[in-house]
Amino acid sequence: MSGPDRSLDKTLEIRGRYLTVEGHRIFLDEIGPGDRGTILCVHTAGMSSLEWRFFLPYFGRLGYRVLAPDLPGHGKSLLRQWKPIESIHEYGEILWQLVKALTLSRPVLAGCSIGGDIVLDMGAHHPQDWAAIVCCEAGMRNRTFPDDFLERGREDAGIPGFHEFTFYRTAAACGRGTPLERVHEIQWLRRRGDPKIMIHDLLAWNRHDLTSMASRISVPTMLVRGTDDSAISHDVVEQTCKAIPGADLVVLPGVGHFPMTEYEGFAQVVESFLSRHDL
Amino acid sequence: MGSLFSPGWENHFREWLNSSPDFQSGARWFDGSVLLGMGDEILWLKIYDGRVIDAKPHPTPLGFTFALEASEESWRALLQEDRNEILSYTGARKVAVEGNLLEFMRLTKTVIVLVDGMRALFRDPKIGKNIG
Repeated sequence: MSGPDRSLDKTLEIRGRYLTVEGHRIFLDEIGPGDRGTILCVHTAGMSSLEWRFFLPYFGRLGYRVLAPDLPGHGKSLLRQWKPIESIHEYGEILWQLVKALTLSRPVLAGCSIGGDIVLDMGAHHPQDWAAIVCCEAGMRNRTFPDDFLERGREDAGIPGFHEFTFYRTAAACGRGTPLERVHEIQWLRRRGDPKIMIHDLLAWNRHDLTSMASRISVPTMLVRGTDDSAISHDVVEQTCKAIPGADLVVLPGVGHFPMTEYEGFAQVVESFLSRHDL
Repeated sequence: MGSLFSPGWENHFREWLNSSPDFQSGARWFDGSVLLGMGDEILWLKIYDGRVIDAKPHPTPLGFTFALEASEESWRALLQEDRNEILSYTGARKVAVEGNLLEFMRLTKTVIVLVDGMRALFRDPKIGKNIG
């Protein structure tokens, strides 16, 4: 499916803007007129809105307004008082304030990895305020990393060579079906991330537990998992799906931990989900 | 590692590494040793200034900076993967990393190239025993 021809429409250029939320100076990418609704996209650990650069134009052309903020301390967003955030819920509440500051009305939430955790958390804590949730490569409880590894990473000296480790680890986290050009883009995107911010994000990911609250999510929810994602098991995603009333689980063969960047057909998967719910 | 490679593979491995620009650059700032272990079978590599300057099929009193150790089954599975999955294997503990873990992290590129070299030789019909 493709949208109407809006090639001359200035709203179909990705634009950047800044605003201050809860003392954090937040950058966000934005596209689209919004006559079909709004989608808010949340990136993975240590990353930025750039991860959604293929997704934004697709939905902008369909008439949605699509926003992709950089979380505080990521990309072009600054941290309040320079204190890294170590809580999925705290990130969620900052985004909730962003939604209010922009006077967005029941946007669709989409997130991947820690972004997936964040959108589930927002869905549980503010159950009536979203049109739908798309959660990729995340679950209600993740224990991916050994605690001692992450604790070591609080200091740069504890994880020497972190950028290079991330660079190569990212290649292994991409799906076997992902075109090499995309794998290289994701590798280079990820080595741009600050190690300290990344480690705090992963600590947040490791410690987050939405088990007792997942059933509070009451809007249409789609969970997405690539079969080649080694960061989160299929069992965890399946359990999360069962815990959320009416949630769908979509499995993408040959896709890894970054479906919105890896997989050309990802936007259509989301479009199909939204269509099923008249969104 | 006689079940994975033909006798004398160590010499080919050393040659392969020393002719790899990625190995030379990745290990340029390393002065230490890496042990590859499969049960009692080991290969100890002394690396300095981007080159393997010594290799022995047995432990030395000098010990090692870090070691990569796995069962024959895990090494074979790793070498048969359709891409270099060493970091997935170490993450899943299918390959154990012993010794100085900080140096292991710092030498990520070198570890990748070491396994690239093993994968290349494993697929060489004259050197590897890639029996499916």
